[in-house]
Formats: sequence, C-alpha cells, structure tokens
Amino acid sequence: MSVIFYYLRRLFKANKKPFMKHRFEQIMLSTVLVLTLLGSCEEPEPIVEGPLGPVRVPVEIIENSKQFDLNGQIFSIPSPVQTAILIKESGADFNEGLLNPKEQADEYSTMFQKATNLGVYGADLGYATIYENTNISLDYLTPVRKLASEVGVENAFNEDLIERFSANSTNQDSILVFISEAYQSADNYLKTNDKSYQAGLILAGGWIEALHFSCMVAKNGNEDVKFRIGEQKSTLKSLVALLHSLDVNGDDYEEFVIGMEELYASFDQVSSTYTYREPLTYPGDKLTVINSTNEVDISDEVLEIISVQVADLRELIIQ
Amino acid sequence: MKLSAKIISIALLFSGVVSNAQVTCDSIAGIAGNYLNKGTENSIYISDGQVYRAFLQDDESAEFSTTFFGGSTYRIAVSAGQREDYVIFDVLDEQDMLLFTNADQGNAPYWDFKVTNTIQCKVQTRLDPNKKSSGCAILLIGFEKKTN
Repeated sequence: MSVIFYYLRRLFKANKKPFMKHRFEQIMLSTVLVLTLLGSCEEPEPIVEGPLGPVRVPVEIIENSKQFDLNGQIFSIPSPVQTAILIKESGADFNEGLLNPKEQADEYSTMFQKATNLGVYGADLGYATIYENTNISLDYLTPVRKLASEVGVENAFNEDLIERFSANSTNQDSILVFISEAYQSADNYLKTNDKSYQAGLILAGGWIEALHFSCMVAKNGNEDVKFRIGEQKSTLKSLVALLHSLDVNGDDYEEFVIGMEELYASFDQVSSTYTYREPLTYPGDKLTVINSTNEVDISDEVLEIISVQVADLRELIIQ
Repeated sequence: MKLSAKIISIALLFSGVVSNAQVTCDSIAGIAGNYLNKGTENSIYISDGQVYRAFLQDDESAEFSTTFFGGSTYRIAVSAGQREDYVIFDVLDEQDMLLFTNADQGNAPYWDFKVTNTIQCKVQTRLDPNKKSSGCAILLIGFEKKTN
C-alpha cells in the first residue's frame, strides 16, 4: 500500500510537467489505489460505509462464485467415502476385484476420462482405506496423483500429502481426513478457476464408483445396501442437473449424460414415503436430531436394471 | 522506459489485488474448515470433499439440496469472515418444513445433525443483514466418523 502512496505523491507533485503526459499514469494509479483499498477491505466490519462507498468484490470473484449454480441451486453430492463406510457397516467384506486397476490410469487421454477416473480412483482409495488395506491405499495414490496432475490439481495431491499419508499409513482416520481434504482442495481450486467441468466430472466418477460398490454388494443379498442404493435417487437427480449445467461437449461426455438420464429413469421406479416428525434440538450440544422417517421401496427387478446400467456407465468411464 | 516500468508495477499490483480478493474467499474456506472439527471428542468430521461457495449481496440466498443418510451424524459449517455470526442457514425437509435455523442459536457457525432415517434436505444460506451486507459465503458439510 505504501508503494502506491509513494507513486501517487510523486505523480501529483510532478504537475510542473504537461498534465496530459501523466494523466494515463494518474488514472491507472488511482484505479489501483481504489481497487487495493477495496481488496484490503476483505473483512469489512458490519455494513461500514467508507469514503469509497460500499465494498465491492472484483467481477472475477463473482463469476467464480457461480460454480454448480443453476437457477440459484448449488449441487451437493454425498461423499463416496461415506458410501464405503455404510457398505462396511452393513457387514460386507472387502473385495479388491471391485477396484479399477491402477495401471488403467495410463490409458486415459481425454479430459472426460481423466477427470471422471480421478473421482473413480478417489472412491477406490477411500474404499481400501475404510477396510484398512494400507498397501492398496498407498498404491492407489499413484494413479490419483497422475490424473490430478493431468487435470491441473497437482497442488492438492503434492509431496506433502504423500509424506503425511506415508507417515500416518496405519492411522485410518488421518488417511481419510487427508483424502477428503485433498479432494476438497481440488474442488475448491477447480471451482475458483472456472473449471467446473472437471470438478463436476470428478464428483460424477466418484459417485458412479461408489454406486458400483453398492450394487455389487447388494447383488449378494445385502438388504441394507439395497436400500442405500434406493436412497440415491435424489442425488442422481442433482447429478444429472449438474452435468447439464456444465458447458462442455464431446462424444464420451454426451454418451455419459444420456446413460445417466436412462439411469434416472430407472431410479424413478424407486418409491419413497416421507413422514415429517418434529426434530429435537439440544443447544448445549449444538445438535439437532432429525426424527422424520422415509421408507424406500426398491424391487429386485429395478435393482437388477440399475446394477446393469451402473456397470455400463462405469465401463464407459474406465475402459 | 521509466513509464513501462511503472505500468509493469501497476499491472503487478493490480494482479495482486485480484489475487488478494481470491485469497479472501479461500481464507474464509479455511475458517469454515476449522469449524468442521471444532469441539469434537472421540469422533472426526470428514468433509464430503466439496466447497459450497456463493457471493451473496443484501437479501440474496444460496440454496442446495443434499441427502442425509440415516444412522449418520452430519456437521454443517458456515463462514463469511472472521466473525462467527455473519451467516444464517436454514435446513428444510422435502416438504419445506423448517427443521433447523441457526438464527435461533445466535447464528452459530456450525451445527450437528443426527439423522434417524435418510432424508432429502434443502439448505438455504444468506448473510445476516444486520451484520454483513455482501461477501463470499462458504458452507462445508462433514459426516461423523467415530475415532478408532
């Protein structure tokens, strides 16, 4: 800031010279001064009206805030790590055969493949970690880092993460936090740098992979997981809307979106009955217990159709 | 030559301003991130991996739908700056029944939700007009995992 005042003092003192000669510099520096003051007002006290008028944020920030924003709606997709936790809690065993082979990462050439598979490998990483398969988790960091670099989010998966990962490889909780923070950091970076396309595809890839885990487990008669699949109907609706909001084209992307719409048509046959129950709030614990009930009905036939469609969509991504 | 040097300096300063404002939104995300694991014992909240951000002015609000899975506990953390009470958020069910508003809890910057059955929720976020008129608002969602 002092540098700007220094330049301003010098320029405005130099008015012995013809005015026009310095006018451009004066305008430029004044602009910089105003913008710098606005930028430094990033933490304004409540509604302070300064001499410069109301605080405004540069257009770039406003534009960047529109990520995943469609008609005022922001999309939210549940974490694939949480799906893996729910699968484990249902009593299902770990199955390494469900993972996308890590060597496949070398085969992906389009941005669609790279971004969706970054999501797929993130879900694989979470699944292996939940079941405390440390060696597999460490192995899957390699394709994750490779694809992260190619998608442009290598900073989120840098050497520091690898060191923290290795140093805490026996601490499942720490690893889960590192994975989630890395994906959160990547999501933040992509959204603020006008790359919502990649961010959306990472989420879509992770969601399909987690649903693939669930379908494979439900196939073996796990009723808990079967209902977890039925509960994904609204998430899929958000995901389809998200995919439509992304400004992108390409054969693989279009085929994927059509497949997701067909999947939603199948999910539309999943019915649910919601009943409101009054929630209870415990201010001392900063906790609200939501007691409403929701009964999901998904037939074996519909589950079978969904499983086939999910397998096809996954194949489209990982092939 | 002298003029060019000044213009370059100006350009650098200008880019610094934009970057500074960007850092602001990022630093708010950092504050919200700290709320995600504040005051927890025997458990951690794992982020869903997404950062929900919106630039809000006056009475504008941002809304998103999310699924809360039954048998889980979630934490919603919000921030729009260093003060804890800038942001108001409401949680509504699929029938638009209000399940919670932090406005009743002094605009608490984070709150936990224990969910009995899987439900679809809408979360609406806005700035408290008495405390902040415009700015970047960040919302994070984490799910609870008991520590081993």
